[in-house]
Amino acid sequence: MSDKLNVQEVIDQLKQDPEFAPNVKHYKVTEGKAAIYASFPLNLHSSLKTALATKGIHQLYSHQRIAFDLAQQKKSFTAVTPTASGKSLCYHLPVLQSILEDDSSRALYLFPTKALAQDQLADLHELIEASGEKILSYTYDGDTAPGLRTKVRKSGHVVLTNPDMLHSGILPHHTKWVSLFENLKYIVIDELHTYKGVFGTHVAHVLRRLKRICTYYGSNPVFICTSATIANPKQLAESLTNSSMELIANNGAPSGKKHFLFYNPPVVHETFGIRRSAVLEVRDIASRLYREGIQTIIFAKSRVRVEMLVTYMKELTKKKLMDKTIMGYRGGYLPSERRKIEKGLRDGTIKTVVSTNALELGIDIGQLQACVMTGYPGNIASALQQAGRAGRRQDDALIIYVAQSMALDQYIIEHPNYLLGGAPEEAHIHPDNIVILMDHLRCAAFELPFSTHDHYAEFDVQQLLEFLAAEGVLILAEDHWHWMTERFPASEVSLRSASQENVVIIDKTKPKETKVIGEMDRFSAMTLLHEEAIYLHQGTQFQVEMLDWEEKKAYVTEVDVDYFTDANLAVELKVISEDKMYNAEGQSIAFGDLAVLAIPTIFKKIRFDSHDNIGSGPIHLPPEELHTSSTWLAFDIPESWTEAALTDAMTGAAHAMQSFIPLFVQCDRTDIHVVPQVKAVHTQKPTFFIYDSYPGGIGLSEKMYDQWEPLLQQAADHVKKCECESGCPICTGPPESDVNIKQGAEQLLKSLAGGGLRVL
Amino acid sequence: MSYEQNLMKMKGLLKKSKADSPAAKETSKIVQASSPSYEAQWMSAGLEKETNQYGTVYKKVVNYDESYTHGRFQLAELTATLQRWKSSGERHPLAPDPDKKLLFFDTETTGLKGTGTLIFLIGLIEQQGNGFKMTQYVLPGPAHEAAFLYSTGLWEKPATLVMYNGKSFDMPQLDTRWTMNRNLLPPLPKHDLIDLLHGSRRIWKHEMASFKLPAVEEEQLGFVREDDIPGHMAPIIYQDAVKNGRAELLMKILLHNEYDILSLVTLYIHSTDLLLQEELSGTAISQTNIGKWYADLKSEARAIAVLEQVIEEYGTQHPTTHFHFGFLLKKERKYREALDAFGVCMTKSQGRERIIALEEMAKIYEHKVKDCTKALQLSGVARGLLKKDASLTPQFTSRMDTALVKREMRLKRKLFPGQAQNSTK
Repeated sequence: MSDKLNVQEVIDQLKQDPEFAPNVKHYKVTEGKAAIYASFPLNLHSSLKTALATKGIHQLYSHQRIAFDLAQQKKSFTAVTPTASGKSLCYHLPVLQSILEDDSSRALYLFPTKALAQDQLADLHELIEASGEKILSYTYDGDTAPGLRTKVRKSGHVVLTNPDMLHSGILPHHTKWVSLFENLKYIVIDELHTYKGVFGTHVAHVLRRLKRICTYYGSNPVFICTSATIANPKQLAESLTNSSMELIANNGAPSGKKHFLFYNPPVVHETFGIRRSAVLEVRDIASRLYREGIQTIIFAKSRVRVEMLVTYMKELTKKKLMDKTIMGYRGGYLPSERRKIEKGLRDGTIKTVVSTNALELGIDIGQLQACVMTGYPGNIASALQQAGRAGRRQDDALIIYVAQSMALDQYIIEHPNYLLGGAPEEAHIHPDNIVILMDHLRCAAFELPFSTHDHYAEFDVQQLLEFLAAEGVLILAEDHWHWMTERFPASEVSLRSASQENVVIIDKTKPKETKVIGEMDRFSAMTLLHEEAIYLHQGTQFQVEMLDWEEKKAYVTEVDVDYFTDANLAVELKVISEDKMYNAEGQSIAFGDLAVLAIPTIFKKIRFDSHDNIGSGPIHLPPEELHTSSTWLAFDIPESWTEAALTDAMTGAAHAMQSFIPLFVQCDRTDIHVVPQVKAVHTQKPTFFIYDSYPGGIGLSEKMYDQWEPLLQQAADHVKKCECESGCPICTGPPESDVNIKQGAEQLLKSLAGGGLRVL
Repeated sequence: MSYEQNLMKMKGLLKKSKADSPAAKETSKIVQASSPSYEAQWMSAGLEKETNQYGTVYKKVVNYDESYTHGRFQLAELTATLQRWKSSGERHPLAPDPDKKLLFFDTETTGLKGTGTLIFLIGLIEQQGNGFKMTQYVLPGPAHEAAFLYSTGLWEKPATLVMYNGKSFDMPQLDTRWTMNRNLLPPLPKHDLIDLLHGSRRIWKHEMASFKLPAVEEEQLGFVREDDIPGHMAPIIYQDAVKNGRAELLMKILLHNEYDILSLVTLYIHSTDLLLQEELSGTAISQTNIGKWYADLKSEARAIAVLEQVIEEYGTQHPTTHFHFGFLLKKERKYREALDAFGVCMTKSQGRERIIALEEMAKIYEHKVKDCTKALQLSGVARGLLKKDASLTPQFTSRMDTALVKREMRLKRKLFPGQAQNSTK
C-alpha cells in the first residue's frame, strides 16, 4: 500500500498536472475545527449511559447536551446539524429518557421518505438494544404488515413515519391512536430543510392538524427539528410547526480540513459556449482517485447519470472477478442491497460509490476521503451536504466540484465564495396559500368538527367554514360544523404533487409493460407533452403518441430522432389586484394577484446542431387558467430602441433572470416563471412578470418583490461574463436567428439594475 | 376554474391571529342538544322519539311473531339452531356463547372510513320468547350522537353480535364513534362477534361469484328484495334528510336495513344447518368446503365425517374432496388410504391440485413407503405437468419446480449412491 497517496499528495499531484491544473478555476481550503464536548447530563438514565458506553461514547458533543437540556425544559428546538455530526442523539436521548421515566410516553418521528424512516429505525434499534431496555419502536407506513398495525398503534413507544402517512393514514383515523395522542411527548422532524415550497406548505398544514388532534386528546408535545445548513432554520421550523423554537446553531462535532477544487471543463464549442461533458470529466477524475486508493463518493443528478458513471467506472475493474469496489447507490435499489452498500462503505471494502442525492440525507455510511460533484445540485444546502460526506475526523478531505454548462453551475465556478461563504439560501413555505389551506381545512373538519368559535391554528376560518357548508361538505348543527358527505378528503389531497392535477407520463414502448415514468404540471405539459412532442426523460427521447387531457395522461414511446420540438404558448396575463407597489426612477415595481391564461398554438420540429426548422403543426388543447401571485417590474421604453430590439433584449433578459431565481429563494426552476411583455395591458409599458407556478401562489414571487435589483444585477453580470458570442442556452437562451441578443439583454439588465435607463 | 376563482376571493377574507389559538379540547360536559327543526316531519314518516340523559334519538320498533317467514325460513327456527350449537360442543367461529345475549346487528353510515364518518342508523333484532323484536335507532343529527349511541344499550354488558362484514366495517366504525364520545358515554364492552360474511365465504367458496348480501339471499335464502334502495345511496339520503328534513327516502333506508338484519337471522339458521346437520344436504362443493373448514379449525373427526359422507354420495366425481381427505388421512398416519385419496386426484384433478397431489404421493412413497423409484417417477410426472400447464401462476410454477428438482436429486442420490449427480446449477 505504500505506493498509494494520501489526500494531500493527490492534491499536489493534481495541481501540477498540465492537463488538469488549467481547468481548476479556484482552490479553496476551509480549516477544520476541534470537537467541543460536554459531560452527560446528571439525570441521564443509567441504561442510556450504558448504551452510549457500548458505542464508545463517554461524553456528548456540546450541541447534543444543549438539545437534551432544552428538551428537559419542554422547549421546542431546531438543531442545525451538518452531515455526520451525531444529530440523531439530539432527539433519541430526550425521547428515550422520557420513555424510561414514564412507560406510557410516546414519540412520533417524521422523516421525509419511507426509506429514511426505515434506515433510522435500524439506528434507533441499535441504541435501544444496547440499553437493555424494552422500548418498542416501529415504522408505520404503507409497508407495515396489517397484523402489526394494531400493535404499533396501541403499544409503540416510538413511531417512525412520513408526512404522507400521517396525513392520510393516521390523522383521519386518530381514534385508533388514542394511546399515542394522549401521551405524545415529542414530535421529531428530521431533515427539516426538505420541507420547503409546496410540499413544505402541505406538511405545515399536516402538522397544524396534528397539533389540533394532540390538543383534543390533551397532550402538548415538544417539537425537535434537525436541519442541514440553511439561512433560516428557526424561521422555517417556526412557520412549519406554528410553534416558537429555540435554535441550536453551534455544532460541537469536529471537522477536518477541506480542500475544494472548482473545476470547469474546457470549452469545446466556442459559439455556443458548450463545454466538455461534466460526466466524462467526472469519470476521468474519479478513475484517477480510484487508482490512488482514495475512497470517493460521486454525486450525480439523475438515476441515469448514476448508472452511466457506474458503467464507465466499472471498466476499471472489469478484469477482476466479482469485484465490488465500485458501486452505484440510488433510489430504486432494494433496502437489503442498500444496507450492503452502506456497510461496504463503512468498512472500506467499497472504494467508489456513485450516488444521486439519496446519500445527501442522513444515512450512516461513515466518512469518505473525497467527494466529486457532477454539477451544482441546485442549492447551497445540498451542495454542503454532499461535500460533508467527505472528511474523516482527522484527515483532510478533497471536494472536487465539476461544473456543467448551465447558468448556475457556471455562476458557482465564477463565485466560489457564494458556495463557501456560509450564506446559504432561505427555505420558504407559505401556509397562507388559500388553495392548500382549504384542502387541509377540509381534512381537519373531517377529523374533528370545528365549533363556531374555533380557530384553525393561526387562522380565523369561520368564513371559510361557511364556504364549505355552502359547498355542501359541512353542516352546522348546534354550534359545530360537522362533516356531512361520504367523501374522504385526505385521499383527494396529495402532499407531493405541485398541483392537484398533474399529467402522468406513461411509457408504452413495450405494450405489455407500460409504466409511469414521471409527471408534469398541467401548465408545462401544454408545451412539453402535446401530441408529437419529443419529450426528453433522463437522456432518452420519447415521442408523445397521445395526450389524454381529460384523464391527464400522456402516452409516450421511445424514439431516436435528430430533432427536438419547441412549442409556442400564447400567454395572456391579467392583473387582478395590485397589493403593493413602489416607484423607482423610470420603473415601477408591484406585487399582487395575477390571472394567467395560456393557450398553446403551434409547435416546431428543430434539428439538433443546425437548428433548422424541419416541420411544424398545430396544438389542440383548451386554454388553461392559473390564478396566482406575481411581482412585476414596468419601465419606460428606452429611447432609440426599436420594438423588435426591445423584444429580443427582454426575451434574453427574462431567460437569464429565470435561471438565477433559485439563488434567492430555494425553489425549482419550474416553480416560478418569468414572462416579458413589451407592452403589458395593466401597465401599458414594457414589463417583466415573475409569477408562481402554483395556484394561489406559494410565496416565491412575494419574496422576489424586494429582490429585483440584485436579481437584475446577477443576471447582468452573468450574461456579461458568459463566454459565448451572441447569446447561448447558458445565458440568454439560444438566439433565434442571427440576431445578437446577448448585447441587448446585457444592456437592458444592467441599466434596469442601475435603477433607470439613463445609462443608455 | 370557478372553484379556484372563488378561493381567490376568499383570500381577502382570511384572517390571522398572532397566537396559536387553542382548539377545542374533548368535552366531558353533557350539553343536551335541542330537537332538530325537522322533528315533526321525521315523526310523521313513522319514527318514534326517545329521550335520555344525553338528548334525543328517534327509533322504529317492529315485532315479528313466531310464524314470521323471511325467504325460505321461519325466524323461529333460530331456537332449534341455538340448541344445535349447544349440543354440538363445537368451538366454531359461528358458535354463540350461550351465556350472552344474541343480537343481530347492522349499521348504515355516512361514509366508508375515518373519524368524519358517522353511523346514522343502528338496527338490532333479538329473540324475545317465541317472537322477535327489531329496534332501529336513527341519529337525529350530528349533534345528537351521544344520545343515539347510548340508546342502543350496547354499553350495558357484553353480548354476541351477529353481523355481515362487521369485523372489518361495522365494529371498527362503532369503536370510532364510541371513542369520539368516550368522555360522555360509559365504555363499550368487548362484544363477541360472529361475522356471517366470513362464514358464507368459507361455505360457498367456488360456488358463488359474489358474496354481496343480496346475492346470498337470492341463491341461498330464497329471498328477493323488493323496492330496495341500494346501500351505497344511504349517505346521500341521510344528508338530504338532515339538510332538508325529508324523511320518505330515509324510511326506505330503514327498510333496507330491516331486510339486512332479517337475512342475518335466516342466514345464521341456514349456515348452522349446513355445518351441523346429520344428513348431507348441500352440494359436493359446499360440503367439501365445510369439511376443509373443520380441518383448518383442527376439528379433524368432524372433518373426516363430513368428507366421508361426500365421497359416499359423489364417489370420485368431485376430486377436490379426495384432495382434502388425503391430507387429513396423512395427518392421521393412514398412508395407504392417503395414497388412494391422492391417487384419485392424480387421475381426476386438474392444474395445481393435481400437481400438489402428485408431490404428496411422492413424499409418502419416499419417506413412509420407502419406494424411491415410485417417488421419483411421480415427481417426474408432476414436473412434466408443471411445464405444460400455462394456467398456473409463475410463482407456483417456479416454487414447485425448485422443490421437485431438489426432491429428485435427493431421490437419485438415495437410489444410486456414489454416482456422479447433476449439479444444482
